[in-house]
Amino acid sequence: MAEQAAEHIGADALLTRVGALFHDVGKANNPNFFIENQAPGSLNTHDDIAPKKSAAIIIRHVTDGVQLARKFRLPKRIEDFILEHHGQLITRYQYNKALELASKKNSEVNINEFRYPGPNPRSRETALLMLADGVEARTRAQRPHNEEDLRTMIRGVIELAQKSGQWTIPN
Amino acid sequence: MDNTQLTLRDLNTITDSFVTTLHGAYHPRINYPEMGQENPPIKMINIEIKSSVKQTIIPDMLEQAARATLILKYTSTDASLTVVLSNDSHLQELNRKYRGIDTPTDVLSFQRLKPILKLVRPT
Repeated sequence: MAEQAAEHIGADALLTRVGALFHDVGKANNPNFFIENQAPGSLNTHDDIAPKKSAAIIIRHVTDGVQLARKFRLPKRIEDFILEHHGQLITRYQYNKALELASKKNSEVNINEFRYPGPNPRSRETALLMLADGVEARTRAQRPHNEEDLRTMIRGVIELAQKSGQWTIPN
Repeated sequence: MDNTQLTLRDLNTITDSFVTTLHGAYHPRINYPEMGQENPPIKMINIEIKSSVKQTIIPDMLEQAARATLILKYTSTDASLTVVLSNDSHLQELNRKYRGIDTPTDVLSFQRLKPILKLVRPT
């Protein structure tokens, strides 16, 4: 998906493809904590642990990925995909859950504990991967039923990235 | 921070490209607007229970089974299904009439546009 789009906007399609292949490699250290590795019906490991802790485990796939990339001497450019594909976005599911819990206990939540370390995408290729990754995840969750829904959903992902300051559009 | 050079035009191109790719990947899940939404295929179910059948029959169950069969087997075409509960001599008569075979049968099927007949012998 990212590769195709890269081609259409004249970005480096091969780099995007390779970056996309490696971007989640850090998940290999904790595979059971990622929903795509959970068998249907089996329990979601995050249901049992505190949102803060579960966010930390999820966010770790970025830093674990970079460690793996260094260990196996992947090019620096591939590391960028690993680090930047979530930019400084928030793990929203866990953050919302934490807010819910906090409102019951009247305590406060530090949003920065739910934030990926970033940096935000610094190239068109890594920005593309962020969008493709976000769109793919949302497609699985929402299962859009027609092209209209699909388009609205994609716009939503782009908007979210823009609003949270992942980049601005040059004039 | 804001150093990614994606123009508004790029973002539109990306959106179109994603739509195309996902349309391909999720093909079975995404309904195409032009596909059968205005004219859904017609399904017809007939259930005939002859007076010679003495067993207790629950017509609702027959109808449900017929409905499931039609929907699963014939997703995009018109189809009709007739379930006849009768005795051997009647089924033999039908088999002789439609297929020229002089023995009882369970199933008679016909090409589209002609009725599809399914015969079930009560046990």
